[in-house]
Amino acid sequence: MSPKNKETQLNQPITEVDRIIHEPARYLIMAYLYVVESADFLFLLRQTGLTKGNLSSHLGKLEKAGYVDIKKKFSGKIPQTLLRLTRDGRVAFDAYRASMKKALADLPNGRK
Amino acid sequence: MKAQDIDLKKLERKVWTSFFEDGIWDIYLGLLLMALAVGAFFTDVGLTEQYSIFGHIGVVILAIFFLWLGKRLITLPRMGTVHFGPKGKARITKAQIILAISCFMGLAAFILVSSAISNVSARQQVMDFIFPSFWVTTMLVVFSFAAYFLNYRRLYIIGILYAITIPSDKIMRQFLHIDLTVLAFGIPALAILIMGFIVLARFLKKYPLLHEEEQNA
Repeated sequence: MSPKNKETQLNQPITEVDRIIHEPARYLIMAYLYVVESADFLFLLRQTGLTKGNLSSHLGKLEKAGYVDIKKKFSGKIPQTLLRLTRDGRVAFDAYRASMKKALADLPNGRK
Repeated sequence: MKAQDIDLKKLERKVWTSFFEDGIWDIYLGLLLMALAVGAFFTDVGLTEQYSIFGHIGVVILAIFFLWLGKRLITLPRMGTVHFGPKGKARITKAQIILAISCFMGLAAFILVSSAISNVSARQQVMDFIFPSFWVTTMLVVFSFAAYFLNYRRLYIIGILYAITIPSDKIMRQFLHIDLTVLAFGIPALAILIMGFIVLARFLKKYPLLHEEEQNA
């Protein structure tokens, strides 16, 4: 095996991490949606502590990646944005956690 | 805590307990106990049993309306909607089954014991000693199971406050010669209501109402 190939193989777990989920705010959003069946925008806004603009923007990216399903509906006269993780989103979230765990577990203990 | 360090079990518990963060259930349970106090009050002041029953039912209806409207008008516009996954649903089902079984078994045991006794003085003994012990045990067991399975810790305190009502009524009657059942039920009910309103006030402060346009993406 050439030195370059060896280096590539060593770096693989961390370079293969899903960058969409790797962003902390998006990870937080996905974690909340992972533990429930569905939630509305207001619930996520309250629980995550993100601003409205920030949450909207991250949800847009997650929707574009196919990880979150966003449905707008009316509850009586009140508009409501319902959010849920898609099947791909759940699989990607599990894979991300597994790859992060592996990448961090492989690190040697630090020496002083 | 870094976002990537999130413990999903803790997060799920946090989402679940947020369901009881509004104090509405505490107030509902406080009102149910207050219904017994109101019924007892009408009897204590010498009104007929009909007034007592109407008073009791009136407060129970008020409690049910408060729970329904409170969740709809106070909690949902402030905290949003969440549908729990299979684990959450299983937790509710487990708590419901345990509650139903404990209530049924307790009631059946009490009916069997009291109907088996024909002697008047023995029946009085049942009312004086067995019924209060049965009440305390049932309340502590039922509320503790519910608190454990629903992860709703204030239910332990509520269970204790429910449990002390009948023994304190007996103690007041027998040792202090005070015939005020309303106090035995009213004081614990008031304590639960105060606790509920404090939790509700904290909830209102933590989650002020947002404008409609801020509530959606």
